[in-house]
Amino acid sequence: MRAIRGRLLLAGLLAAGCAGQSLRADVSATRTEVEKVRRNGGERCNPREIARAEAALDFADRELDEGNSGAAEDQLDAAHENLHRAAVTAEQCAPKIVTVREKPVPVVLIEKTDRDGDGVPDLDDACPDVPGPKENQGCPLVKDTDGDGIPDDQDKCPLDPEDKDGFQDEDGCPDPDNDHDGVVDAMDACPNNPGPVENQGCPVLDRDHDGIVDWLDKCPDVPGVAPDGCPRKFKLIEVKQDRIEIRQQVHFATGRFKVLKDSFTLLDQVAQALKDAPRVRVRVEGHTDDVGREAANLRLSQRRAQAVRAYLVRKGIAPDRLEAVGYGPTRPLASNKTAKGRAQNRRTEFRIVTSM
Amino acid sequence: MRPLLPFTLLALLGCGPVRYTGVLWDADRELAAARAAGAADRAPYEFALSEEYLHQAKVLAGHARYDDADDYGRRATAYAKAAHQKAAGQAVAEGK
Repeated sequence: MRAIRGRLLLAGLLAAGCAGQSLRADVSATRTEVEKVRRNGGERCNPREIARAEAALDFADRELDEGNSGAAEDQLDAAHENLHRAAVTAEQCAPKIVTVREKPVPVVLIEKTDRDGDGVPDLDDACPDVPGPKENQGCPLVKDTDGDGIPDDQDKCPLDPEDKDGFQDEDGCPDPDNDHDGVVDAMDACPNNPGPVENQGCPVLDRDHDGIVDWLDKCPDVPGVAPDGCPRKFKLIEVKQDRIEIRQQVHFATGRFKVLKDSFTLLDQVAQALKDAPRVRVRVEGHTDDVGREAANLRLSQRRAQAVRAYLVRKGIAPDRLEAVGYGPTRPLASNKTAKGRAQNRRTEFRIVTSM
Repeated sequence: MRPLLPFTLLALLGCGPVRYTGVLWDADRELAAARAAGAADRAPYEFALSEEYLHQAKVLAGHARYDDADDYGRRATAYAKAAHQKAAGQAVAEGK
C-alpha cells in the first residue's frame, strides 16, 4: 500500500514538473513575441499593453518558481491578452513602408542560354532551372497517380487523393477526421476542434465555469447552480457575469477598517454565492472618495478590502480564491464635487477575475 | 521597560508584514505623485509597469508572500519615479 502511495506521489510530482516545464517554455516564447511586437512599433503605439504583458510574464515566472502553475497560467493568459491587443493596434499605427519602384532599364539578351542543360533554350524552357524533355516545354515529367494535383514525389499518400478541406492539404493525404475526435468531418459541426458526438463533434463549452455545460445552462455567462445553471436569488446581492453586485454598501467604522455588524448578512450572502460557484475567483476592491491625502486613502481602502477578504475566508472561502486590492480614489464612479458623488465613490466591489 | 515594547512586538510578529507595508506605502505615494505629474499620459509605459507591480504586490501581500510583495513594491516605486521624472521632463519641454 505504501509503495503504491509512493508511486502515485512520484507520478503526481512528475506531472506537475512537466506542466511547469511546458508553461516555462510558453512564457519564454511569449516574451520573444512581446519583444517582436515592441520592435515593430508596439511600445510607441501601445505602451500600456506592452508593459502589462511584460509584467504578467514576470509574474508568471515568479509563480512557476513558487510551484503555482495555476496562477502562472492566469498570468500567462493576461500576457497573451495584452500582447494580442498590442499587436493588433501596432499593425494599424506602425509607420507604412513605401517602396519607390525604379524605372526598369531595358535589357537586350543576345546570347542564347540553357541553364539546366536539357537542350531546350531558356527562352523556350518553361522550367529553365530543372531539366526536362522538349515535348513537355523543358519541364520534368512527374506522375500524379491519385490525381489530387500533388506530384507523387511530394505526395505522402500517392494512392489516396487529398481531401482538400483546408486542413493539412499540402501533404497529399486525406484527413477524414481532422480533429481526431472520433466524429468524421462530414458529420462534425466543428471539424477542427475536438468534441463529443453528443455535441455534434464540437467542444463542450462551459463559459461561466460553473460545472454546467452551456447547452444545459440557462445562464451560460453567469456562474450558477444546478439544475438550470442560473445563480441562486439573494436579497442583498446579485451574481453577474463579471461581478457580484451588492445592493447595499459594506459598512466600516469611520476612518477605520473593521467591518460593522450590520454588513454581516450582506457578506454572508456573498460567501454563499462563492460557495455556489467554487471555481470562481473574486477580487475584493476597496474604493474611497478624494477627501484627504491620496496615499492615506489608498492605505485605508487596501486595509478595508483585506478586512472583507478576511471575513469571507472566516466564512469558509479558500484564501486563494480571493484577492484584496485597495484603489483609493483612483477609480471614481461619480464626481467627487458633490456629497452624493462622494458617497457613491466610497464603496466595496466584488469583481469576478477568473475562473479556476 | 516601555521603550522595549515596540521591539518586542516586532520580534513577536516578524519583520515581513512591517517591511512590506512601508514599501507599499512608498509605492502608493510615488505613484500618486507620478499621476499628478501627468505620467499616465506622458510616460504610459513606465506608469503602467508601476501600476501592475503595485497591484501584484498588494495581491501577494494578501497571500502572506511578504518577500515577493516587498520586491514588487520596490519595483513599483522605481517605475513610478522613472515615470514621474520622464513626465516632468516632457512638461518642461512642452513649456508647461
